Amino acid sequence: MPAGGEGMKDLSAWQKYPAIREMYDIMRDDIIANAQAAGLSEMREIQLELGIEEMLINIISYAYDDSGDVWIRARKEDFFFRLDFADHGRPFNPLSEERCLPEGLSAEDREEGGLGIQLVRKNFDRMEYVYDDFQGAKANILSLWLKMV
Amino acid sequence: MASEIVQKEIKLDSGWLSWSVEGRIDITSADSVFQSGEAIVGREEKIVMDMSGVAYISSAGLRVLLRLLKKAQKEGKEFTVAGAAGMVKKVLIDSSMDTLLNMRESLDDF
Repeated sequence: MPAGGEGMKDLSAWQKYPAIREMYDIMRDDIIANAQAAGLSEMREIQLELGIEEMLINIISYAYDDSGDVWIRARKEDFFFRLDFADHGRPFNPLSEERCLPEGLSAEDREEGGLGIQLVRKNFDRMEYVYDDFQGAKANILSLWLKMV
Repeated sequence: MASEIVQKEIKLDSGWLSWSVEGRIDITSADSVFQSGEAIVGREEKIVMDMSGVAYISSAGLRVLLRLLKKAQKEGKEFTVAGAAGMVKKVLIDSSMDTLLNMRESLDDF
């Protein structure tokens, strides 16, 4: 894992990245470097990584029909590490997914989609979503909070 | 960071095939792990995936397990997992995949 240092991209203010699969590793490593620099515990780091993968891959895969950008902001906020994603893609509120993780279903009946968002809900302390003006256009803005220790 | 996966197969005395996977099962490695698992499920009757060496799994990895379980059941075979610990075990439980896969604590159960 990357460690925070002089070469670290500061994500305390919004930073823009192309929302493409090839940029995923860079975006993930930038966020984790900022989390490490902020003092996020090692135990929490793997939970953070799960949230990064599930949310970023979702944006990369489904937000845009063509090309587009994703904005990322990540910083310590009181006792939490706060992670924000914004994109100008199609409106999608992950918090509206009321579906609970299914229990008692057979493998055949079990759907393969929707697992990621449910895992994020289980691993993060708080989530918020707004569809609002951002960088000159309407945007999905998703915020996640994870306890520092 | 690339997700390098190390895999090993051992035929157990009980007749089960132990498929040991070490590394991270994420969006980067999921396709490769599925391809390996698909071939194993295709030729073996009873498969236990030893996850004691898996340090991280995301929903991409869960989908791999679900697809392999569906394939095994469709072909009248057995597919389960053992040895999951830490974050991996928590994700399997959080997603109810532990019961679906009849997850075991360790390979000692086979």
